[in-house]
Amino acid sequence: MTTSPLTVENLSFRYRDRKGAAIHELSFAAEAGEILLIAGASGCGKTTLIRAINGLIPRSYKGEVGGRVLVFGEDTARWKLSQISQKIGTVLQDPERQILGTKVLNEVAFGLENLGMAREEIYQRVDESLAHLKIQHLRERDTFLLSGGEKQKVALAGVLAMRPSILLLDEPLASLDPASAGETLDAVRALADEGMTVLLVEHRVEDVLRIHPKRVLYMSAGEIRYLGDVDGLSRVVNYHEVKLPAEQIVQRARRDPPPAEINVLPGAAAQTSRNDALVRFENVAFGYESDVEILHGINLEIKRGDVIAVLGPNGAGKTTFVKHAIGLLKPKSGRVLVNDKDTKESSVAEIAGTLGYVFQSPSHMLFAPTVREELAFGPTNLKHPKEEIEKEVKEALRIVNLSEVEQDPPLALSFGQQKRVSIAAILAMRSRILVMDEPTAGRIIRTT
Amino acid sequence: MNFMDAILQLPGFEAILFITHDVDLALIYANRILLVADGRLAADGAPHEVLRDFARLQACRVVPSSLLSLNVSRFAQTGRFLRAEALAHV
Repeated sequence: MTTSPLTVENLSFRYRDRKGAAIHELSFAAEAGEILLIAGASGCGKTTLIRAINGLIPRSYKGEVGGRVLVFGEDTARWKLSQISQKIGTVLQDPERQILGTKVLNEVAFGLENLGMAREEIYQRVDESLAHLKIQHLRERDTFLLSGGEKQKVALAGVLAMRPSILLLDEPLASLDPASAGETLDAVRALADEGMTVLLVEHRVEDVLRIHPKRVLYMSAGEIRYLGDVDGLSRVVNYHEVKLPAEQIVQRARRDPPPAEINVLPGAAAQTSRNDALVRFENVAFGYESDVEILHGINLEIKRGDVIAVLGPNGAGKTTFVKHAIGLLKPKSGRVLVNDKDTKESSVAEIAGTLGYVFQSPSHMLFAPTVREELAFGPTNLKHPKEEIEKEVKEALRIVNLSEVEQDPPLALSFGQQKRVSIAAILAMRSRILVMDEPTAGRIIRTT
Repeated sequence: MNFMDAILQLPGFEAILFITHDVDLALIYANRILLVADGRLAADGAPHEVLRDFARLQACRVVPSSLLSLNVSRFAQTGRFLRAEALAHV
C-alpha cells in the first residue's frame, strides 16, 4: 500500500475568541509530484488550512482543533515544529514576515543552522537552493535592500534548503511582477516534477493554470466546495472571488445582470477652484549611492481626478518614485512639489495632509496597541481638533467595515483586515491623494 | 463589494495613485498609466494607449493578460477598457 505524503482528515479549527469555525471538516489527500491549487476569496479559510497543516495551529494560534493531519501516514499532532518543518516547507503571502536574516546567505541558511548542520553542508544546500531559483547573484546582498519579488524568492530558497517533501505556498505571487511570478511558477513546476507535493494557495487562478495544476480545491466559508480537475472549476466557482481567464468570466457573466457603473472619485469633482497640479515632478533623479541612479529624468504632474496605476517590473524604481511623491525620499537633482511647495522644505506631516501612503506590507505601518489608536495617530499628528478626530476615526472604521475590531490590536488581525486598517488610517487623516503599494490583497470588503 | 470599487468611490480623495503588478487592476480602474522601467518613465498616458503596445509592455517585463487581449480586440466596439463582467454585456 502506498501512503500519500499528505492526508487531511475531517480537519476543523475554531480560533479562540471567535464564534464560528474558520475551517470545517476538510478531508483530502495530496500525492507526490502533484500541484494542488487551493482557491477561494479572502477569508474563505485558505490561510487557516495552511496553518493547520504546517503546525502553527495549534502551536502558535490557539483554538479548538478537530480531525488530523497525516504526513506519510503519521499523525503530526505530537511532532515538534522543527520536525514538521523538515517535511513541510511554508512560504507566506507577506515575505516581510518571513525574512529574519540581514544577509541573504544567513536568511537562506537560517533553518539549517537551527538544525545544527555542518558548515559545508549548509553552504552546499544554500547554493543549491539559490541556483534552483536562479538567484545566486543575491547571495551576498542585504535583505532589506531587496525588492518584494526578490524577498519572496529568498524566502522560498530558505524553505527549499530544508529539502521538504511538501511545499505550502500562501499567495506567493502577491508581491511579484508577472515575469517574476512566471519564473516562480516555473520553479514550482520543476519542484513538483522532481516529486515535491505542492499546495498552492492563489486567487490568481489564471496565472497558475499555465503550470497545469493536477487538481483544484475551491473553498468558501471554511468548507470545500469543489475538489477536482481544472476544467470543472469554472462551472462551480464564483468568478467575483477567484480570477478566471477573461473569456470564461465573459461567458458566465452573460447570465448575470451587468455590473453597476462606479462613481469614481466623487471627491475630485467637488473641488474645482484650486490649482490642478497636486504634485509636480521636475526632472527628478535619485540614487542611494553617488554613482548609481535609480530614477532619472522624471517629469510629470498628478492632477485632481487622476487614478494612476504605476506598472513595471520589480526593481524598476516604482516604489522609489512613489516615495519621492510622499516626501520619504528627496531627489538628488530636480525637485518634487507638493501643493506648489518643494518637498525638501516640507515636513513629512505637511505632505501627509496631501498624500497618504498605504505600504505593501501593512505590518510595516501598523504599530499602535489598538485599531482605534492606530487611526487616531495621523490626525493627531496633523493637529486636528480632538472632537474632529473622534468623528474621523469612527467614519473611517465604518467605511472599511472594521468597527467591530476597534479595540483589537492591529497586528492580531488577518492580512486583509490589516490592509483595511492601513487604508482607514489614511482616510482618518483626510489626505487628498491616496497612494497604495499593491492594493490587490484582501480583495473583498464585506458589506452588511 | 470589491475592494477597489469601494476605494474608488470613497468620499474625500481627489486622486489615487497605486503601484501594481496586476495589469487587469490597472486596465479596469486607472484612467492613467505610468509605465516605469530602469528608473525612467517609459510611458505616461491613458490605459488604451499605453496598454495596447504589447511590444513595449514585454520590453518592460509586463505580461499582457487574457482580459487585456480581449479588451484590445474589442476596443473598436467598446471605446474603452472594461472588466470582463461588463464586456459580457456589450
